[in-house]
Amino acid sequence: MSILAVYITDINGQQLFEYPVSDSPPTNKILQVALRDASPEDVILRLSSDELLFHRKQDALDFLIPCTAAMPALVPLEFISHLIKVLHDYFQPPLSRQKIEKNYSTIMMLLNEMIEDGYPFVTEENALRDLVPFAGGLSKFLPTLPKGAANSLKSLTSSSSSSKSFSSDSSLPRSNVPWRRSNVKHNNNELYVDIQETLSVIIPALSPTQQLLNSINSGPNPAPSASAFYTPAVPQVLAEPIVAIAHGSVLATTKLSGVPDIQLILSFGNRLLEGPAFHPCVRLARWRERPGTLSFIPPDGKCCLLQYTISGVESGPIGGDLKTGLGPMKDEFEVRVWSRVPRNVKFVENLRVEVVFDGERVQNVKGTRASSGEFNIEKKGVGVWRFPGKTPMGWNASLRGTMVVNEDLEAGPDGTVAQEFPKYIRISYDCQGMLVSGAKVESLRIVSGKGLDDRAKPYKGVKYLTQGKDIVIRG
Amino acid sequence: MSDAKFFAKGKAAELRLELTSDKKDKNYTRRKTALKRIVANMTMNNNEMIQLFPDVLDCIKLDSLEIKKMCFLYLINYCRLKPDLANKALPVLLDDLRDRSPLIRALSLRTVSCIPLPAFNEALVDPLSRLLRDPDPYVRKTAAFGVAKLWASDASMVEKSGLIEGVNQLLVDSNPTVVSAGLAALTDITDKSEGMKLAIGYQDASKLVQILGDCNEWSQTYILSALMAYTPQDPAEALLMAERLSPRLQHSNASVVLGTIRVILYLTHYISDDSAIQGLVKRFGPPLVTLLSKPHEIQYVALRNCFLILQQYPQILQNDIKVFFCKYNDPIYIKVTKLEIIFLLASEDNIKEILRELREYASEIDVQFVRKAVRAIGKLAIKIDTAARDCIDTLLDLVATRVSYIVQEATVVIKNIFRKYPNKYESIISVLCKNLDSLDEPEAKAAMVWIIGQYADRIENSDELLDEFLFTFKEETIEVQLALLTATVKLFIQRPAKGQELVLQVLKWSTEETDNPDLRDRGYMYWRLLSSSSGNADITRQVVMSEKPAISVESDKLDVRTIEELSLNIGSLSSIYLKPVSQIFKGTKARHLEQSPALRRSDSNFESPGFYQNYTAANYFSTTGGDLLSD
Repeated sequence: MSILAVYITDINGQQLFEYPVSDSPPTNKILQVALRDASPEDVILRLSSDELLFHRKQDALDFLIPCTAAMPALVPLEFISHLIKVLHDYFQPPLSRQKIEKNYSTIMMLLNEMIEDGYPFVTEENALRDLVPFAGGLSKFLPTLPKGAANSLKSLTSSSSSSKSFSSDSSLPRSNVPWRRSNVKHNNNELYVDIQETLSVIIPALSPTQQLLNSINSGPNPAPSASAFYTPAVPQVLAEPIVAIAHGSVLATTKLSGVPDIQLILSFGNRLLEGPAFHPCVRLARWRERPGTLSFIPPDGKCCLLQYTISGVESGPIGGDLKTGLGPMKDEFEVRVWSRVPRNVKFVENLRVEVVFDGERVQNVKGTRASSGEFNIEKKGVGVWRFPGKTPMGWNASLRGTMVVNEDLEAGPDGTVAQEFPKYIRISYDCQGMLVSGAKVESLRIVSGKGLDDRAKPYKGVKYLTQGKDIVIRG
Repeated sequence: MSDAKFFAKGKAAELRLELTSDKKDKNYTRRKTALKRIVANMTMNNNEMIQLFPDVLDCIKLDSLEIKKMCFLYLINYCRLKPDLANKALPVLLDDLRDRSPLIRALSLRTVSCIPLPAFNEALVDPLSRLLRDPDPYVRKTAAFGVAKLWASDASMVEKSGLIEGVNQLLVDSNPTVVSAGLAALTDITDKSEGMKLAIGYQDASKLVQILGDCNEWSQTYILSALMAYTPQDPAEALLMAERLSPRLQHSNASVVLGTIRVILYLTHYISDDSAIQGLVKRFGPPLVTLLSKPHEIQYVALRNCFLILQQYPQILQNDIKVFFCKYNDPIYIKVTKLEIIFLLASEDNIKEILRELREYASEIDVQFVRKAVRAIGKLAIKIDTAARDCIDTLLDLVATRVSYIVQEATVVIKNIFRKYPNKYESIISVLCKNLDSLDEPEAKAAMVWIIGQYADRIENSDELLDEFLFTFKEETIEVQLALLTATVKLFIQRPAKGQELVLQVLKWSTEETDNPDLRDRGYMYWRLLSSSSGNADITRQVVMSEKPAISVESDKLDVRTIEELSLNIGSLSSIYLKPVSQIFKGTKARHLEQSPALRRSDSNFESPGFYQNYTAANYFSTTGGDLLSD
C-alpha cells in the first residue's frame, strides 16, 4: 500500500503542483479524465486494476492522491486533511493558486518529510516546523551547518550520542514529546482555550393540527395584503426537532516557553459525551478516572484537544418556520426567523437563511416582502435571505413571496400545474459567548512549567462559540 | 520571496552562473535562491534544469542543510531520468552516509534509496546493514524504509543480504517509532512477496499494543495493520488484546479508529465469550457517530463501514438511528448510504418514525434519491410484516401526489408486496388502476401488468386494462412483452370467456411476429400447455398460477462468509463496495482467518444461505428472470 503521488490543481483541474512518490505515477491528465468520467457517487475512483484516486476540494484547490489498491481508504483521506492543515499553518488560509506557486520548494520539502516510503509519516505541524523552514523566515530555523549544527541537529534528532535518550519513554526521536517542538521560547507567554460547537438540527414540518393551533393563536387570517413591515408573532406551537446534535471541539492555543504540563477541567452538565476523540497529547487514563479532565503537554501553537458529539441538545438561539399555501390564492409562502430570549448573549452574527426550492420547476420568486434583511436568488433552487452584521436577541423577521412555476412544465392529470413552495429552509449563524450544550471550562491549571516563569499568568481565558451550521426546517 | 517569478524559460545558463559565481555569497543566500528557482522549474517539468546537474552536485558539499535538501530533491527527480549522470552523484551521497550528523545520514540514505538504479542498489547494501544499527533512531527508521524500497527494486539481492533479518531486529528496538517503521517495512515486503509471510506471536503483539500510545498516528495505523498478522492461540489472550486496544477508538485520526475496529473485529473470531464480544462491539458505536462530523469523503467511508459492521451487529447503533437521518444538503453518496443503514436498522419499534422520515425523503428534489426512498418503503413492508399496512398507506399517500416517477416506483414495490402477502391488500389495486397513464417505464409497466394478470378475476375490467397495454405490444421492451404474454395467459385461465380473444392474439404475436427467442420460446410453451391440457384446465391453472417462492429482503443481507472476509478488510475499498478483495482487484492477497485452537467456527453459528439466497437476490428487483411459468 502506497501513495503514488500528490497533485494540487485548481478547480478546473489545471495542475499547479506535482510531487511524484513512485517511479511512474499516473499523470494529472489521466486523473482528470477519470474525474470527468466519474459519477457524483464515486468518492473513490478506480484508475486501473491496482490503482485508486482519492481527492478532496478545499479553498478553490483540488488535492489529488493516487494510491495503490490495498491502501486503507481513510489513510489518504486523513492525509489530505493533515496536508491542508499543514499548508494552512505555513501559508495561512485560504490557500490559493498564488500561494502554491510561490512556495514550491517549501511544499516539496514538506512532502518529502510527510511521506516516507509511500506512506504518511510525520504530519504534526510542530514536528514539521522543526524540519522545514517557514516560508517567510527562511534561515530562521535552519542555521548554516558548522556554527549552528550542534544546536539545530540536537533539536532535530535528540542527543544522538547518548544512548540514554532513546531508551527513555520518548516516542519520536526528534523531541521528548513528539508533538511539541523542542526549545520553545516565547517572550509573552499566553494560553487561550476555545470551545466551539457546530449545531445540526432537523425540524420536521408542522403537523396539520399544529398548523391549525398556530393559525388560531395568531388570530383570524393575517391580512392577505400584509405590508412588508408587519411583524408576525412568534408561533406558540413548534415542531420538536427530530435531530439536534452538537459536534464540539476544544481548541488550545498555547504560546508557552519550555514544557508546560496543563490540566483543564471541563463540565458538560449531565450530558453524555458520545465518542470523544482526543489529541495524542491528552492522557486518556486521567480522563477515564475523572471524565472531563484533560491533562496534557500541548503542542506549541494551535491544537484540537478534544472532539465530541452530544445529541439531543436544544435547538439553539435562533428559531424559524416555514408556512405554505397562504394568501388569497393560496400560493404564497412565509418564512419566519426569530431569536430566543437572551441567555448571556446579546446578539448572533452572520445570520443567513437559505430558502431551498425545486430549481427545475421554479423559474423565479415574485412579490417577495421581507420585514428586514435582504433576499436574493443566488443559484438555481436556492434563495438566500441575509442579515449582515449583528442580529439582536428577542427579535424576529418574516419573508413572504410566491414561487413562479416554470411555464414549460407539463400540466398534471387535472390539467393544471401544481403550485411550488420552498422545500426547506436552512439557517446558519455564529453565536459568541455560549455553547448550545451548556459545556464550560471549570478550571485551568498549569501543573508544572519547566522553563516557564513561575509568576507568569498565561491563561487568558476561554471563548465559546456556537455555530448554527445546518439548522434545517422542512416544509 | 516568491517562486512565481522563477518561471521564465531559458534560464539554465543564468542559474548556472548564480551557482558557480565566485562573488561573495553570505550564508549562501544567492545559491539558495538559485536552487529554489531550479526546484520550482523542476516541479513544472522544465527539463532544461537537467543541464545543471554537475553544478548542483557541487553544491551538496556546501555547509547548509537547506541547500542539501534542495540538492537531494533535485537528485531524486533527475537521477531516475539520467542514469549516466546519476552515477557521478553516487560517491557524494555515499560519503554523506557517513556524515557525523544523523540528520544528514538519514537524508542521504533516503535519497539513495529513492533512486532505483542498479548501481545505487548495490552500493547501498553494505551501508544499510550498518545504518540499521545506527545509534540514532531517526537514521534507523529511515534505514528500515530503505530496506523496503531496496527490496522493491531488487528483491533477491536484499533477501540474500541479510538485511531483512536486520529489519527484524528493529522490532525489539527501544524506540517505538523505529519499531513501527520496522513493522511497516516488513509488512510492505511481505504483502508483495510470494514466499514471505508476517507472523506475530503473543509476546510481540502484546509489546506492540503497549507502545501504540507512544507512537504518532501514522505509526499507529501501521502497527494496527500489522496486528492482523497475530493469530491468538487462546480466547482469553484474544480478549485481553482487544480490551487493551479499545482506547484507540478515541483517537482523533479516523484511520486509527477504523484500524482499531478492524483488529478488534478480527480478534472476536478468537474470543469464546459472547457477552464479552457484545461488550467490545458496543464501543464501536460512539466513535463511528463522531466520524460523521468529518469531511464528506471521510463520512462516506465511515458510513459504508458502518453499514458492513451493522450487518453483523445491528444492536450497536439500534438506538441511534436518528444520526443517520439525511439532510437535504448531504451529497447523494452520503444520503444513499444513510438510507441503506436506516433500512438495515428498521424494526417494529422504530418503524413509525422511519416511515415518517422516508415519506419526507420521497418529497425531496433529487429524483434519484426520491426513487430510492420509495423503494425502501416498499422493502420495509416486506421486511417487517406488522408494518406492511403502514408502509402501504404511506405508498398510497405518495401515489396520490401523481408525480410520475413516484407512482412508477411505488407500482414496482407494490407488486413485490403482493408477492409477499398474496390476497391481502388487494383493495389498493383500484388506486393503482387509476394511475395507469403515468406509467411509461418498462419496469413499472411490467409490474402493473403482472398485478393485472395475477388478479385478473378480481379486477372488474382486467381484460380492458390489458387490452389497452396490448395496444402497444410491439413497441414495448422485451421485459414488458414477456409480462404481457404471461398476464394474458393468466387472464384466460381465470376468465376464459374474456381472455380468449386476447390470448390468441398475443400468442400469435409472440410466436410468429417476434425476433426475440425468449419471447418466442415462452409463447410456444404456453401455446402447447394450453392446447395439450385443454381437457384438464386444473393442471394448466396449477402450472401457470402456482405458488410463488416467498419473497424476502433477507437476500439483501450479505452471507456470513462474505461478511467475515469483508470485516477483515474494514476501511479498505472492498469494505466500501461490499465485495471481496479478489473481485475488485486482481492479485491482491485475500485475508483469511488463520487456524488456531481459539478460532470459532462461524459455519455452525449461522444457517448457510445456499441456493435460496441467490434465487431471491436475482429476482427481487426484476420482473424477468427465473420463475418463468408462474411469473
